[in-house]
Amino acid sequence: MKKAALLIIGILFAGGLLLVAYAQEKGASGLSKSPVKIGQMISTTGAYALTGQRTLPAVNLAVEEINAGGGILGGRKVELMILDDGGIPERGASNIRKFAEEGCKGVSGTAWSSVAIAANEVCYEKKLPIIHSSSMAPKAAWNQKSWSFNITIELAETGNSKGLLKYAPRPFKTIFLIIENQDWARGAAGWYKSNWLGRTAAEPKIVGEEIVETNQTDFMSVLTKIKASKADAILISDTAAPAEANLVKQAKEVGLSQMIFFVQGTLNVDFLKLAGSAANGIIASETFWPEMPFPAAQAFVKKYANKTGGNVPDKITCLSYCAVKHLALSMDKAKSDSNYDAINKAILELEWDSPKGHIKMDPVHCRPAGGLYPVKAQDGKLVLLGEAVG
Amino acid sequence: MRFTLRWSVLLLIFVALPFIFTGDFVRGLLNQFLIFSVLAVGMNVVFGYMGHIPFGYAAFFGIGAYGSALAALKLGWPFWATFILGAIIATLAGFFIGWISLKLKGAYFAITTFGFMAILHVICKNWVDFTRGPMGLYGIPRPSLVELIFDTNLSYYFLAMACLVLCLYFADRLDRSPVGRAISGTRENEELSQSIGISILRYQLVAFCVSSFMAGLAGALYAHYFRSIVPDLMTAYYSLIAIVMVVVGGRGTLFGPLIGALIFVILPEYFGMTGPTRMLLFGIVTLVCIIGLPRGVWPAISSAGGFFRGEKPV
Amino acid sequence: MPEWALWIQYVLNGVVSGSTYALLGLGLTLVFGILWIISFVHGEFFMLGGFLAFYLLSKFADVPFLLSIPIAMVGVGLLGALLGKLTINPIRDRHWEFPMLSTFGLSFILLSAALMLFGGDYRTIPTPYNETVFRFSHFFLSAQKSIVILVTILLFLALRWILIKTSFGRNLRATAQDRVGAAAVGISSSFIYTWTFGLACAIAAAGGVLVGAVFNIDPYMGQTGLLKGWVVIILGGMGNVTGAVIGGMTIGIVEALGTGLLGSGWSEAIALGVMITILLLKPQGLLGVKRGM
Repeated sequence: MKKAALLIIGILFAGGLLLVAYAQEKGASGLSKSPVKIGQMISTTGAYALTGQRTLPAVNLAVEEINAGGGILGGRKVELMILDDGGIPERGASNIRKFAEEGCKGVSGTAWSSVAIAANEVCYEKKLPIIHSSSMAPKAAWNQKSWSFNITIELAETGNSKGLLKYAPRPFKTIFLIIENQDWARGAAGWYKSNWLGRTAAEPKIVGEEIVETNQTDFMSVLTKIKASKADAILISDTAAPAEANLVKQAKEVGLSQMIFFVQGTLNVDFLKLAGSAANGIIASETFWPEMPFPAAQAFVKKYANKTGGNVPDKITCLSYCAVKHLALSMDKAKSDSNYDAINKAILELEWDSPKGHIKMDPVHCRPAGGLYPVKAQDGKLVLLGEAVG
Repeated sequence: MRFTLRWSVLLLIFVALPFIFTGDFVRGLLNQFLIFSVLAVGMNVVFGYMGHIPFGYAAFFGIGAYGSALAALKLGWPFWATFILGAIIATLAGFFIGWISLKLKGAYFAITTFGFMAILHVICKNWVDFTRGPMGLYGIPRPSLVELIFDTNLSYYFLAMACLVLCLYFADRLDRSPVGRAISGTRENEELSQSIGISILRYQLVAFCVSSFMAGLAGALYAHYFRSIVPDLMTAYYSLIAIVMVVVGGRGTLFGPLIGALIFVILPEYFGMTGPTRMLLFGIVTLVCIIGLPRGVWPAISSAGGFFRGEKPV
Repeated sequence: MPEWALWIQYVLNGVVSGSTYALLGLGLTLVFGILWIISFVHGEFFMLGGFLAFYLLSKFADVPFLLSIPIAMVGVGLLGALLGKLTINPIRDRHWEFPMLSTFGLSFILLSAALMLFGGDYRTIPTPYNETVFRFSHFFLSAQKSIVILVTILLFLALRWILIKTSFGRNLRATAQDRVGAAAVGISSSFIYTWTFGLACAIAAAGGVLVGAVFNIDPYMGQTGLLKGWVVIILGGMGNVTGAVIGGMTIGIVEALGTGLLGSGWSEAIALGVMITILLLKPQGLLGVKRGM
């Protein structure tokens, strides 16, 4: 009697297990609305730790908005898998592997070039579409088989900050360059040199060039040199807010009266806070800043403030938001979460209105064209000076 | 007898690992483990066997990486040539730096090597025309041998494993050779060795060159695995990681560096620790091992094993 | 600006940066000269000093800036003494790399704690002296930077006084010269280790406050400072307090002049080259190694 009972229970149990397994199988095959996972790279340590911490609410906001709007690919929700790389390339690479293993279909990338490059290699291997928020990482293996995109324009070949010249408060003949010893900064400065300065007698002449380090704090000698050079203007290509702030504050101390330009994308919130009144009058071109007087930008600033209890989004925060959205919307457009070629094609062709303006990728450079505005720093805020210059 | 048993077990474990762990992420970790093990084994030769701490060790790591990468990218050489080139340039640097620095005592030796590394770092970062400076090198090809391309985690694993086993073998041979015996004297008693004089220096230089060869090899492996490198490979971070792996794992032992690499490379990744928590873990583990396990984890484990076998504790 | 004035201004700049290096070097040279420990964690106490002053001045706005310096020194000094007692004392008898690696582990712990507690935000220490700039003839020097130089000199003199005139200082030097002998006459080496370390951390903290006020504070500021500190004490002679100050000033001036001549990218290489040359030609440093002075 007991044996029979046990046998029956055993069969029922096994049957139950089989049913559960079958149901799981069914669910996992995607017949139900399984989420689309996207990997998000973030750096919360390292020299640029702050940007990583700020990006989190923005990318979550992007996902919430997409899901509130009905998701993508027929009602599927987007889900982010977030991994920190601490600014170290090896970890960026292994994070991509982890994303792939956990079923992510695409990657929203980073602003760190060295990490971006390492990550790209793995993305090419795993056929994961990737859009970086910033970073100089070039389309290294772009051969129409492997792609890497960037959601911001401020790369060397694109953008035309020459239009910035007409916003200079007075004409200048000579200019001194200060360049951070970092890939982005060097690249940006290099572009200015080959496109805007010193090529003909009509263009401003470069009378000096100094390389400074990312974590340098003392610029007195460099600035003293500039004072002696009597240049009319200074161009600063530096991505580190503390260094930028120290530079302009010490410039005041040294008694420099030149007009100062920053290369595109470096006149950011942290710098303005640190530099205080020393930043007044600096001219640059930016793709997004919190006071950007366009409705889409202001709406984003408001939403971000609501979500974070009053915080203000900076450029990289906005770009990360845009990268996630662009990726998700591209998958939707391609009607697939795994067709590598189709998704990349969609990324190239997708057009939408983002907080930083209308986004459409330039097919040659794999970045959006346009959207760079001339601005001037005034009392801790940026003031728009005119039409887009690039 | 026990010696060959240990090697067989080790080889068996190594070969089996990538088949036990078939997930791509873990295999990637295993490759990282192998690369940093080579780095640690090299450090062990100088630090564990010889008792000298080269803070500038990462210089050879970076030279190996850049040497191999540049040869592959600019000259188009096949990997076995670029690997050897990278390691040889690193060895030459090791010869030069060692020849100058080994005359100095302990702390001075450490800082002199550090100074050389820092200078090389500055050069690498500023000589943009040659090394592309902070922009780094990317698109470094995966090694290929005729038709065989080591472009998956699995295939690269065996390449790296071969390199590691080779390094372990040579490290072991060195330790047992007259060179090894001579330099282990310096570990125990620095003053005595100093009094013996120049002949020791020759042996130390040999060991230092072997160590820098291994670091260079690790660098080449790194470059061709991650396929992108930056000048920061030549900074204190990688030297210190190597030192800590050796100290925590067990200096002077054969398998100590492997254990160290295991603890520092695999564990944090596996548990997904990132950012400050990971750093905290490093710090605490280092501190605990320094204060509590002075000879390192491996000697503690193996003497525990001996204890169970009824041997007297060392 | 005439040519000669330019070079003098460079030297002046160099003296200011040199003072901050000297402050780092003073503490390091104490730890190395007396305790024979290569400390990796010194920079972290430098950083903590800056943060302590920042939070103090932010919370209590009417505390004068100058007062925050001794407060930071005491606070960080005590912390340093405690941590030294826990992590260095127990292993002080072992081979020198053990305490060194212990400080390495400790530095990771402190750095990660700072990152977790303070976050990556950029801050400067509020001080009223940054606005005033003294201009005389062709030269300029801000009030804040003059304070840096003054404080450095004061601390240097105070340290010398402690080492020469007080019994604590005498015990310190005795331990440095012969630890066993010192123990035999009743000087507790544990006490010496703890409080030498604490004193060194206090000096580092002062440096952090000053640098934080002139530039800014961030959790990583200790890491970059440490290398400079090492160059300074190699140059000046390990354990040599006067050497640390002279070494610091020298490096500061050499760097400033180097920037003027070659550009700042290479000035770091110059400082390193100087260090290596000294190590090879005169490892005792310019003023010689002093066990305890």
